[in-house]
Amino acid sequence: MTNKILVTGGYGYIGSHTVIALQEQGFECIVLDNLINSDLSVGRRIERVSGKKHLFYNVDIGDRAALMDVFAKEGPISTVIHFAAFKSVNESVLDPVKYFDNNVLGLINVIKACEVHGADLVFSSSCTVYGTALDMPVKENAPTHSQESPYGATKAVAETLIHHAVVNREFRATSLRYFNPVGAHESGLIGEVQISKSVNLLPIIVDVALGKRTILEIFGDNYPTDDGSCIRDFIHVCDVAEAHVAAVKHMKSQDVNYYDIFNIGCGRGTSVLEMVSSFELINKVNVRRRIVGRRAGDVGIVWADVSKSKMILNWEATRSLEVIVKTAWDFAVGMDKWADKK
Amino acid sequence: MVKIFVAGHKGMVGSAICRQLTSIGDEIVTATHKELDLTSQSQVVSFFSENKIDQVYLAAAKVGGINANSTYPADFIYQNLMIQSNVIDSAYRTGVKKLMFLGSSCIYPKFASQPMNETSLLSGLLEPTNEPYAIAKIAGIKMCESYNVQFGTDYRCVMPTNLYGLGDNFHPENSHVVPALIRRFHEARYTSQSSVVVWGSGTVKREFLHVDDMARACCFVMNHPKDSYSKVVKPTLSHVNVGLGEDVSITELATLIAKVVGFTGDIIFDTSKPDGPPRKLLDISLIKAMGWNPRIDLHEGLKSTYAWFIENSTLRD
Repeated sequence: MTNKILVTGGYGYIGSHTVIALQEQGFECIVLDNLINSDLSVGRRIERVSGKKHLFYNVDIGDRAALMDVFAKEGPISTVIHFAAFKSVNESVLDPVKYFDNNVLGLINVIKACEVHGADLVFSSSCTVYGTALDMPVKENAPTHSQESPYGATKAVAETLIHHAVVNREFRATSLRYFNPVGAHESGLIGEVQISKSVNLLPIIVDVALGKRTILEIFGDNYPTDDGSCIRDFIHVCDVAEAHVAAVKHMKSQDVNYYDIFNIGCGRGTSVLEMVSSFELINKVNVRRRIVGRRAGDVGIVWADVSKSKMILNWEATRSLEVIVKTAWDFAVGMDKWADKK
Repeated sequence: MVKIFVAGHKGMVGSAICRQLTSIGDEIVTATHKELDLTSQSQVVSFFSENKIDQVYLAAAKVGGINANSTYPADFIYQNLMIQSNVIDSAYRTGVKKLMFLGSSCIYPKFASQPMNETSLLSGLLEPTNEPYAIAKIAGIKMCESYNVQFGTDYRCVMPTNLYGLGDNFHPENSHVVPALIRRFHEARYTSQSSVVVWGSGTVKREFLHVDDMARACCFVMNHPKDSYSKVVKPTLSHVNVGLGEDVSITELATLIAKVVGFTGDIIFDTSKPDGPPRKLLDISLIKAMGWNPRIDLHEGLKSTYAWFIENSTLRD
């Protein structure tokens, strides 16, 4: 069996950390990316961090022929980890067809390639599929809702597609439902590159601390939580990356037609205010904030039940909130200096 | 920091581009012919896939004089088409956003009106002796333009006039006119010959640009902002001439080289030898309008070229 893993969207936020985690475990990586939300310097920084080479192809996942060409050229690929997708909930509301086109059609192309070449599949899903689930912590068997945003719908449809596709086909698949991946690689070289202004909490905190934005708006202080702010399951991106390695390894011992779904969170809720205060405390910076009204569509409390991932994948998140805020800040400061030098 | 691949870094133009880029501080990648055969598609795509390159200067080509072009036309068209197709396509496949393709003024029709403007491309028949080479270069321009149109890349093309300077080929038989004359005048001076024979009537006029000016122009065009670039060129007429903007007769050139070398004997023109077209001058108003001007005049350029020849001639023979 080969050690070759094809990583689509491998220069994205979670993809780039996963490439490093795979290389650390002796896997050989081939990265596909269309570079719309990243650039080639990510590839060079991955190589600096891991000390290992990888191959890169500028392929849009919508281009089935180009994807098939890579399989033909690179020979047996054991697993495809499919990250390449659009990820903005807001944008998906404005242009749902674009999201279905890229996220669903892209997956269909990947599945076609997996079928033909017998490659296993790890799919990037999201806790968004749970919608406004009521029972916390949320388990994998909770009902999924595809009606809340087009983005979430693409992920729910994708999971359904994989579920049906593995039947009678010579490959195996795993979906990983990420909660809230945050932080950056401890090297300071890899992290979440902001091409456009993020609407996520930690990137905004970082921007306010750097003086790129004036103030952090906290949406709502009257949720039924200790400090009144929302609670999320923030998980360090390197923990997320390691979950993929665990999923790749686990699948190899399973029969063909295998398909399973795992929550990838740290299994613990952190409130928005808690995140801001630890960021200030650990990094010794000030983050100006003000409380504003609740944001439409926000769920008050979400965190993952990770017992299934622990038991079956033999994986769990190990990095603390301190590590999360420190690495996020180190990476942002480093990138800022780097941008000045350019 | 940007990572730049200079294809053909050992050639006269490629090495000048490397000198130019080093002075800016970008990271340069090169590969010798032994390490990378640019005519091999699989080697080239693997090279790009491994190296994560941001920009390419494509200065690699099979080049030669009239004699080589007419003896090995298949080599000229095959190798040049392969090199540029492999490099341009692999660049696109591995995310290279910017590429500079170097052409040649021989892409213009034999009877193009002088000075030759960019718009005279494909308006008439080519000079037959180097037609296969010129066809390959024209294909390179059209390939860049087609990739830009279909894939949104930013691949640009420059067409230099006759170049001379550091790193030129001073071979006694198959070198171009400037290095050939430098060598002949130099040898005449140091073997105390009373005269030097120059082929042709000496009346035809040619344009010569120093290779350091050419390298500077390549980097200038490559880094010209995209919005203003797209205002001065059209998607399917995008190549940019690079020249000195003025030409000299072969008599003037020979006289100047004799002066630089210190040869004081007679210059004899052998009118039984062919002259070629009476004039070949590029219209460089486009690149001038973009803000670039040559800096090295012919006299100054010949002096530094001769100094380089003196230092390096024994090594290269």
